Amino acid sequence: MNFDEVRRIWREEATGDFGRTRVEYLSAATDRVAKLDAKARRMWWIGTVMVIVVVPTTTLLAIMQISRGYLVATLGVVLITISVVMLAIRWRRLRGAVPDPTLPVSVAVEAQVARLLAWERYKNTVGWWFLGPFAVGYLLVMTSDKVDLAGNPVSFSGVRLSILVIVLSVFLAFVNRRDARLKVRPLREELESWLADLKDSDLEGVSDAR
Amino acid sequence: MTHKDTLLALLEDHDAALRGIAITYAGADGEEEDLYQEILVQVLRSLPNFRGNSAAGTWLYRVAINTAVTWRRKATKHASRRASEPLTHGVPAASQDSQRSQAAILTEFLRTLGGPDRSVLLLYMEGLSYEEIADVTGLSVNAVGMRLHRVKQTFTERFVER
Repeated sequence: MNFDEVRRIWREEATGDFGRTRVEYLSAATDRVAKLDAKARRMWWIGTVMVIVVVPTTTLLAIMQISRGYLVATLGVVLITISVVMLAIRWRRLRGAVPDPTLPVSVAVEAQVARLLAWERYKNTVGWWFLGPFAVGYLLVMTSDKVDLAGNPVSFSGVRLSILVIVLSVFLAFVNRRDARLKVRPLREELESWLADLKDSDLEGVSDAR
Repeated sequence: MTHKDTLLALLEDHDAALRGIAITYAGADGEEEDLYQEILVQVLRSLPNFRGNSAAGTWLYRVAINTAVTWRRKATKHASRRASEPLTHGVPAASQDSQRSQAAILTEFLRTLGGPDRSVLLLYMEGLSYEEIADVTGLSVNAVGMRLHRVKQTFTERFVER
């Protein structure tokens, strides 16, 4: 086989035999698009309702704690509020940053690398800006509030719940970091080598291939 | 005209190309149909944003290759398996004569190429000009020529004696 023949061979012979007709594939694709659009709408509503409910609730809780004058509990509520708001903002930003598939391949791959890098950072650091502060804030609210209420002993169920939240947070932080290391980073590195390969060729001289 | 009708019209000219992209970028056995389906889904979702700034074919190839590259990321676990397997599935349909093996060899060769080279050769075989390939991939025209030159050398070293 000669390289000059590849165009002809490919166009004449490489037609693909997938078993279903073009119209059947198209109908299936249309159905899937409708489902994806419906899911995107649902996710948008869920996210919006969550923000509408969670942010005012935590803010109200913070105001209530501040008005009661329990400094440690107030600090706990502030930590919870900040971590929840951070999560909402970062989650929405990452979910919305899907690369446009109509861009030139090099630009789309670059956008995909940036997106994967953002996901990697998110997963590697979620323990510091969300899970950790949330767990500590929860611990502060659950324990200090009980102590400060007329000097009663700390509620045992409150401590148990706090320990549960902390253990769960550590576990989730571990899972996220593992995900970043084993899933996201290899994908990013593979795409980066793709991109490096593209850019490398772009620096080279004029070809005599024609 | 609905988006479905528009895509159906586009497929009249470019269906074989999309199938070719699916076959050469698919990860493991039976996945080329899934990838082809995914390409159609992404094209349908992107159609409302098509402004006609580039040729429909160029636009379609961009969406298809970008989808294939992203899709491979999801199916990356199959990549090493694919590389070590003989080509037994996803070979383009061909007539019963010797051309069948040539098409199979070509598909096998495409699968051994790195991502950018594979895209450039695929688009070249689909009949796109250097300028059009550059438009799809984002490479310069010179870089497209350089890549094809390298691919041609590799191809000649490997297959011309067969």
